[in-house]
Amino acid sequence: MKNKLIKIVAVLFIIFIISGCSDATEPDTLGYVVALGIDKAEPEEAKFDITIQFANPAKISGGASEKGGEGGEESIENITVTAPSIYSAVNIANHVVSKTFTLSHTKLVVFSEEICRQGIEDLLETIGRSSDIRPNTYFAVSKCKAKEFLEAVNPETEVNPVRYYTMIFENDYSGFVPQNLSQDFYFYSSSEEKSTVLPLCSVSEQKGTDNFTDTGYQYKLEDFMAGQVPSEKKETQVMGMAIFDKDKMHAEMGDIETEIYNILTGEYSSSYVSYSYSQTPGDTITVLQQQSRKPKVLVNTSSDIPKIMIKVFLEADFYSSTPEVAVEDHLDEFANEVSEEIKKEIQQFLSKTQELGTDIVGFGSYAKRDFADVKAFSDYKWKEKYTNAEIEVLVDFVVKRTGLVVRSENR
Amino acid sequence: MNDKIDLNSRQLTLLISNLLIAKMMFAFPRFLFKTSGNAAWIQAIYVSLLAYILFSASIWFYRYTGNKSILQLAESTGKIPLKIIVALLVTVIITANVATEMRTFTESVKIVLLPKTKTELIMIFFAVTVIIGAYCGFGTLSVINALFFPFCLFFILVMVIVLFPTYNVNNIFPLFGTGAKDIFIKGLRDTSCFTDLLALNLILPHCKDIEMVKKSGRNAILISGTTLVLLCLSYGLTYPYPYSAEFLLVPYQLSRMVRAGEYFQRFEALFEFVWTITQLLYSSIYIFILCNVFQNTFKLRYLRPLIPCTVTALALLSFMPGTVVDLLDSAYGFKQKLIPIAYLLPIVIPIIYIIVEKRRSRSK
Repeated sequence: MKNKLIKIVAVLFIIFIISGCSDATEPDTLGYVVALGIDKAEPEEAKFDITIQFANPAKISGGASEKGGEGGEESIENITVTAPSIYSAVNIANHVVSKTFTLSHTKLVVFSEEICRQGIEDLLETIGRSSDIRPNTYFAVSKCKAKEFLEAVNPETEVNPVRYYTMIFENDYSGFVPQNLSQDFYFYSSSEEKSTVLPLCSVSEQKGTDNFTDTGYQYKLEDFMAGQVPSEKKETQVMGMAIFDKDKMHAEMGDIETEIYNILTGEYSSSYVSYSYSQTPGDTITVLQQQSRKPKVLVNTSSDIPKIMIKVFLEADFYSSTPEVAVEDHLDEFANEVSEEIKKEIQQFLSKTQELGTDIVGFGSYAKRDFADVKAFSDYKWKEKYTNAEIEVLVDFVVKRTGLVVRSENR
Repeated sequence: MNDKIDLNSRQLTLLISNLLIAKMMFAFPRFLFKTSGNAAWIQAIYVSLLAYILFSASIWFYRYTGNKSILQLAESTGKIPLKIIVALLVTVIITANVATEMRTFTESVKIVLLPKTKTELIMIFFAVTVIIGAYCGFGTLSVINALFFPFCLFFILVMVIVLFPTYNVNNIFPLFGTGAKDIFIKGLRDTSCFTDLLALNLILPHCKDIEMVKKSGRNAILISGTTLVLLCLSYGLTYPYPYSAEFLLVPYQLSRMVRAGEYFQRFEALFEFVWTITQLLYSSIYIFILCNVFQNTFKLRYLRPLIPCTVTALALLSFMPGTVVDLLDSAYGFKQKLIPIAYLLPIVIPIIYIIVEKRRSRSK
């Protein structure tokens, strides 16, 4: 009897102690940070103006309101504080808003271009050390002030603001944004094997550029960067990429070059691409282009001038063509022309990266295979050698389907 | 363990596997990456092979000694003084292992789960649970371990498979990481991971026969070696060097990377559960073995009263290093110094026993 009583007391004791916890936090006391914007502070000694964008759960679908969420601008709030680091800003914000901010749902960290040009090494440390921030958070460089960008965000089509950022940065039908998560940036920002990139974002400038491409690839499309797509109202745009040398922003590239980058890194999924065709000058042929398999890369470092071979594999389905010529009858000819255009575009892109001295595609990662240990690779000084590398580009482009129409005289 | 507990082969295999794998779930793999960079998986194969060879060598001598534990052999050979010396050495090795793991566990929980809770409080709750576990007895622990541990192994396997999209083969190149010398010479110190095989020599009297011990020991090395290789390979394929050598908790970092679609994320919650149970079983089993060593050495009548004092002493000892950095430096450094003793003891004592027994039989 005595033993039984002891056991019952012990069980009750365990039930009571494990049901409570000194670290317990009620969800309604938390402020879920969705995005962070980091600008240079004025005066400079104060280091950063950090904009914290947090979710307003009552306005999100399924939130506190019975009729469901309203979405849009209402679902997010912004607060800007001046602080020397991300967590100091969170600390200050905790005293301004009646919530305890958590970064566990943060989806995006936007750095202003000004800060990126100076280097973001200090801020990267926070990403690596904190167990709060997820490795699949996105980083982006804002052409305007990061605060301005976040304040212009209006997720009209999404009731959940996190989903809004996911859709923008993980869109499988777009090649204009580099697929690069914060973890990759953290890993490679001071790496000897490759340089890294971040997406560019901005608020629309309401005017276009005159920079129409007359090359075969993305025919008659402007080489836009974020903020340059003409728009009637002020809205956010994510397009193009910033190139980094170590942790400092070095250069930038437009949407078409970003798409080429995605193709070369194998992160490209699919997108609509317009091509010119010699048989139908002036007309565009649009295809849904997909990467049929990851690029094949071979790097030979036996001499001081490395030799690189890259072969990309693309397939396409016709989405629009010209009624004047039955392209279906000249598929091989069309594919050859397109292959040449893609090859030319890739060569131009790679030459530019060599001029910039930044191996953003990551050929260095393949070059490592030729070395026995880390020291041998380090002694080879890949980044210096890359600028003189001989690069051979091969393109395997196939038109697989023609949509619902087959316009052919012979078939 | 004075009562006769007959472990079957499966229970024994999983018990030893737990003792070997528990530390692989925490900071241990990081040391491999510190030693040899992203060639840690090669080093993992190397240390596993070495452990297998050393275990085979030690078990070879037990053909002549039967099911006697290392303490019984010491007593038969050098009477009480040798038994006490061996018991002290065993105690030091187990204490170093358990105290380090207890502190590593509480610090890890503090970092990833309960950042606002005091480490001392986490340790108190952990210690109480370990005491309860050890009170349940060796038989109960073996059975619970046999039920739970396959789940832990399955979890690791699932994690390794689900992480497949994050793997980048280029990350494990250059093939020899920081160099072949680092892997094969400096890497010798990382055989410390398998020092827990010593526990097998202590629970020998509870095994049916030496063949079962041989089989279970080999299977345990195979299971834990494979687990270590898989963890290192998976981590090396996911995290490029030198960043791979920076993170404190390798399996936890891996679990954070799991992302199967929009809905299957935050795998670490499941990982933390597996982590906790594995560590509880590990510590409880070891506390019981340690108390049993005391009981047998000093011929004590009861074992259970020793449990709370032993756990308290170990918990206090584990707080000797002031910070996590001190813990990694001093505790791990100390453990490395014990490696030769942990591997040599199960070989040297049976050899002395065989020689003494032969002399005795000759003199008769």
